[in-house]
Amino acid sequence: MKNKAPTEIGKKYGQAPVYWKQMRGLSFFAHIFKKFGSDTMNLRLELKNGTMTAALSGDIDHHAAARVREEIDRAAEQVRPHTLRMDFSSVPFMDSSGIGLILGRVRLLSLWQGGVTVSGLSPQLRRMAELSGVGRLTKIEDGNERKVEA
Amino acid sequence: MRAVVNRMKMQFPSLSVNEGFARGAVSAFLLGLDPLVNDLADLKTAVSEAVTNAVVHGYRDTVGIVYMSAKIFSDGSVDVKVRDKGCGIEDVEKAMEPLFTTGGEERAGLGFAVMQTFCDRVKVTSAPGKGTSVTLTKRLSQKRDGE
Repeated sequence: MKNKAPTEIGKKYGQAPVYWKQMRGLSFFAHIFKKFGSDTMNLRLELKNGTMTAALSGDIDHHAAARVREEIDRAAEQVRPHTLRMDFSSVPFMDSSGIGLILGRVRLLSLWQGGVTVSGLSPQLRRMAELSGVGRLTKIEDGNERKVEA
Repeated sequence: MRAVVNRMKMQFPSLSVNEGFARGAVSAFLLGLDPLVNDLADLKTAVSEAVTNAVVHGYRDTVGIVYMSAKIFSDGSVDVKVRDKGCGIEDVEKAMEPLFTTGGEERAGLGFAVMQTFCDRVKVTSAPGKGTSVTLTKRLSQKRDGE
């Protein structure tokens, strides 16, 4: 992870200018944000033979899911892939917001009869998926190597 | 006898970026107990759900203060309490039903179901207009027994 200048993080959290001002210059807080916050959430999109792969990384909570959702939807609505493959192999933590993220994309892809595939789930993420029954609406791929420790 | 051996309290504004901070703080507080990775992950997930509820539902159209406290007991169990002074819940039983949500299409309606699955006990008290308090209790098994 590249070290970002603190001001860049400040811009990202534009909704909280007051709190950011209080913390400006305290690189210690910026460090905590990076470690625990969702600032590290990342998304890489790839299109190949009509399949769009969304490789997610970092913690997926309500905060991160909102940003990822926008980016995936913008791309998916343009290219209308027949399959959206969501790769969770670099996701160390996910709460039920991740399930909402998957279900929302299932709904979106169904507009043009597309489907969603989920891969790279850690045991913890798999439990969450089983609890939600999301496996009935998506294809869950096995045997994908985990890239990060959960 | 369930005596408190350590405790902490914190408060933060209901900004979504603080969801990660809250579960990270609980995790850091409990690290000294040397908990199993799975137990810690379960509790982090439950804390994330509770704090998200406060951010998304408690303080629906506003930003308020989320109060979080944690206690470690002598028997190795942990209480985490997440409290808001937001809009409160009219019908707690209904809110706890799996798939029930007032959060729109992107919310799965699984928050309380996840808390109940990943914790030993979930206690919810709420008063409309006054706020909601969620107490999560989980027993953490230690890696080394008898030490």
